[in-house]
Amino acid sequence: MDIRLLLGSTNLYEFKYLLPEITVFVGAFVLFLLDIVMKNSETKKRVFLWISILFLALSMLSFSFKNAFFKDVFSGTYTIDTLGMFSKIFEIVLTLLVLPFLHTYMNKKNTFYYEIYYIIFLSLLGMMTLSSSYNLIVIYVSLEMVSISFYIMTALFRGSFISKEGAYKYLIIGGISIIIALYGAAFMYAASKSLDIRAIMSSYNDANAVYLIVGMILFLLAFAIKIGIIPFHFWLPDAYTAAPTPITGFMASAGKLAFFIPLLRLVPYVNQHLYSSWMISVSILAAATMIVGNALALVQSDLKRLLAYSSIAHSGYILSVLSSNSSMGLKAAIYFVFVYSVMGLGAFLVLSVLEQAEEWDNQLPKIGGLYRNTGFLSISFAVFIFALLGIPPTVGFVGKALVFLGLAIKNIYWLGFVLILATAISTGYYVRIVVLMFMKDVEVRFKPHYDILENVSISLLVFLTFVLGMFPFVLWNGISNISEFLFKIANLR
Amino acid sequence: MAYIGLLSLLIVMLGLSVVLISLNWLLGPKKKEPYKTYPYECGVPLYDDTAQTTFHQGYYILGLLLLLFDIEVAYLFPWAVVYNYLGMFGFIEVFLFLLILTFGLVYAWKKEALDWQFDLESL
Amino acid sequence: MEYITNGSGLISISMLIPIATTILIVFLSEKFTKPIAFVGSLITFLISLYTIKFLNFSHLSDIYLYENYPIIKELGISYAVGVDGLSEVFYILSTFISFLAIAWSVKDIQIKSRLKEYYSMFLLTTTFLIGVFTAWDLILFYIFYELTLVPMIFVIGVWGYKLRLYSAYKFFIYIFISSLFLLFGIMILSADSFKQTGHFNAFYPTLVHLHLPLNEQIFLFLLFFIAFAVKTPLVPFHTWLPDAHGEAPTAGSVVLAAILLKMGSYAFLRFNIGLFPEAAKHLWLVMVFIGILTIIYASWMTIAQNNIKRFVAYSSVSHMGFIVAAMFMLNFQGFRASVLEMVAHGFSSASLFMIAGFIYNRLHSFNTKTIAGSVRYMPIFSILVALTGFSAMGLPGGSSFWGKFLTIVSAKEHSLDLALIVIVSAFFSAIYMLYFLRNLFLEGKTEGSFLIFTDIRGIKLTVMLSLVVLMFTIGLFPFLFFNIFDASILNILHIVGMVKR
Repeated sequence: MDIRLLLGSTNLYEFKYLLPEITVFVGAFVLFLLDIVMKNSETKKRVFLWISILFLALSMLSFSFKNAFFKDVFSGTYTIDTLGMFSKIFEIVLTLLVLPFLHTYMNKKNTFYYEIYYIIFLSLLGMMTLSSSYNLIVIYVSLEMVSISFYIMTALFRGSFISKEGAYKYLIIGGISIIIALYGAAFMYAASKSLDIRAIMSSYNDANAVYLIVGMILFLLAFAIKIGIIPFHFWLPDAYTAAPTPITGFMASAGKLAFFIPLLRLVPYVNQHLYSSWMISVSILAAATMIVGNALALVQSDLKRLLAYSSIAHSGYILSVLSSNSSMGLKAAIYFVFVYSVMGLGAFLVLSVLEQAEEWDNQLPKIGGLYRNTGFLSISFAVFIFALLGIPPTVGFVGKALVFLGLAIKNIYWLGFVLILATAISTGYYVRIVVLMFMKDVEVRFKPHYDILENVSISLLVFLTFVLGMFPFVLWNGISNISEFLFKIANLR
Repeated sequence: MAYIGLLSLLIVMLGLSVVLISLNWLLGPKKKEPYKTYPYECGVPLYDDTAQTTFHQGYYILGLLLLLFDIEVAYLFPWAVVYNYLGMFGFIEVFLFLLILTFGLVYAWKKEALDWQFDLESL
Repeated sequence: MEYITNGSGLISISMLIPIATTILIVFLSEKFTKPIAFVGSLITFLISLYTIKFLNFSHLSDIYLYENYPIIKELGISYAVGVDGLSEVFYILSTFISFLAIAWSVKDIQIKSRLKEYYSMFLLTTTFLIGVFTAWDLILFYIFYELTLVPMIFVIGVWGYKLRLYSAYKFFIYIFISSLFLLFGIMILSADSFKQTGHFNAFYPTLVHLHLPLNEQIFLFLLFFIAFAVKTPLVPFHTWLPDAHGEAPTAGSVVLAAILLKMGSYAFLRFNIGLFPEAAKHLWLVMVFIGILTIIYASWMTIAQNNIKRFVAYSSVSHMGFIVAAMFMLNFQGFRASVLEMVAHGFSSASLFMIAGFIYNRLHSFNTKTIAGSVRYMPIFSILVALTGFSAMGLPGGSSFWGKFLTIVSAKEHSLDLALIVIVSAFFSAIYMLYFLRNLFLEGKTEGSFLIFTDIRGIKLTVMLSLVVLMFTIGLFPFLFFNIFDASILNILHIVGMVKR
């Protein structure tokens, strides 16, 4: 292999498409150096927060919207298209929203870990690359990057036993999942001699069918473990409870978004040979996830764990519409993934503000009469709960309605009824939270302190929940084009 | 259809376990004695609140480091297989790769992640 | 069918005014709450009366005040509102009853705390109700249908009586789960229109022309049926109603009984029969049977109550049974009977709940033994109670008479046996109303062991008097109402295919 040949074939100007990722990476590096250089003080905390926000804003600005057409750069290992761009923007915004909460959370716990800032940046970098590639190796490395950052952040606050147990479970099961992914990737490569998912799926023929299918199943198993599909969800409630609440919000929203994107990219390439087995297996898994996730949430008394189980259930809703291998289904799935990240993040962030009071442990009865203590937090929590439940005109309703439409298009009626059953079960615990908040007498008297940035973040999320729900065309046109385009590309190959 | 045996094995497995456990739960006697749920520690009362204890965080860091360096080794295997074709370019490339990971190892070393001497009481 | 856009924008304005009033209430201090709420709901009611000016009374089956803004063009979801004759009746009814409820609450001493939230909830309910009855896009209808649950759960749960939390849970969860079936049905219908015409469509007048095979129609009919049967409510899906109506504050019960129940029966007429005529023709006898079962079962349960508010709640169930039974006779007199009974029941149940609330304000109890005979000491109030009771019973001249009479006439068109069954079931409503009047007038101690209660006066007197006057207007001059909705009913009948145009 001649080094001159390799260097000659790299087009350096292609790096301009990578500018957001490079900005995030430079930001991580700058924060790392600052951590070593500066001495711990109050100004250092503020400086870290504002420099992170600065780099994220720079990253958002460095998107080149003009070049947002489908393009493979770096000889096919990286893809620039609208889906990638949307998800990258969403991930950056979600990180921006989480950062102020981390700041106050760490201040309240009196242990300030400066590492968390650049580890979040590195996980964001991993998410951004995960959202824009069809190449097995790039997906694998990005998955590792995101996962390892999450393991570190989960275990960072070494206080209680719960934190260690959850982090350990996450590490072990995550490690297993990544190894299984590697094994599956090896099979897929062996079947088709190519590392690009598009080429792999198009090279389906009778000779390599077995290897291809086994490889695909193993590779997707890693993603199934990460997004919390029954029966691979066992790490999720413990890990979410163990992590500090802003980080849990980050994992549940941006993490889930990033882990879903490769699945969404894969779906148009499931061709007609694989379609019936894909539909049966994915729909059964989705049905199980929806029902079990909601049923287990119903019996929880810890709010954070309840929200973790509800995030499992929402993965089930998204997966159910992916089982109908249609363009409409993909649109519904993409829409629901984006809006769930908004709703889920809001719920976890409200919880993280509530945790700053000393009397608050996350137990459910403590939420009684919250409206008396703080109107703003209880109303925004109620908004997010109603959104998760699926009450119009919030985004959750639009997502569920689109899921129903996606299922109806392909006549998968039984899954629609399972979805109704699952939502019925979820009504039990969501309504209980709202009723306890507004209609009971006050359990715990405290005044949550939240500074202006947190206020702005939560208000922005509430605003998005309503606006994207009442005027879905804001997102819809883009998503519709993405989905049509992905299907068209898949059928052309 | 060729794997119908496997499927029936799965169904019988699951079905048998579900049936046995649920029959137990439905038909078994339910008397709540206070010590039935007490954790077993050879008949000695518990030292702490629960039978669960915490563990040394070194295990966690070890697992994390294992994950990273194990994958590094996994990447070295295919390189070793095709080393003949890669020549000097391959050597320098992998040298740089291992150099970056060595920086990581040095970082972990300096942050005392590799120190495993500890007193028994601090477990 | 034409879409007439004269005066379009009025409906959206009348939906925005309560929201603007709510925002005013939230930001101003608490002592301005009552006047602002009163004025806001009055303005909404007057706007709805003003819309009559735009209706052309000779072509009432067209859609007036039409507005259409696409929300998602590709999926055919649009913000499409407008009124035809049938919707106009319910539009005015809902704004009127909301205004009466707020007017009643102004002087209701039970509502002492958190006034701002209370009035905002009622104003929001007004908006959502207007949306339900004027929506022509199925998804828009569903959005407002679900949204009415949200303020109501707060009204029942915060300002209700003893079992309010349980009732709030039951109300919300039961109706929400059942309306998920409706959402699924709407989506299946939209997907079917995609498969037939290549465009997703949730717009009602276009969907009416979709011809689905009978199996599909029956399946969708049943899905829609689950949602509307819980809302209407029909036995055996009625169990949320006694709790919700029995534990809500007076104004809450009024709004729930007078209008929210009508959403279900309006939807039966418009959507179940209008969209799935073949299925309706197949299943009409089953539906009539369920309606009659509701009447008889609910009447029995009514007579057994010893809590007067639950008594009135169960009597509402019984009236709704009449409405559904009349509707599914699938002929002109039946439709007329059901729609008129909907309006009549709106007025009579509102006034009955106000009676129960007034008695609670004076005696602090709903128990029939405690309040027996208490009405005798309040002369003006007793006149109103008697008039309401006789009118609800179906006495000629009263409001429910035409409903029952036309139901019997429409049943006769099918068979004499059916008419006899309807007559027998109509008899039951007389029984429980007589129980009601006997308990309030004739029972109890005759010596003066009651304190002398202040009679009804002021705003509450005006409210109840207007309701009684309207009830007798329906009873004596039904053609005033028939003129408004006859054309739309004929339209739906034409869809069903029973009338050749």
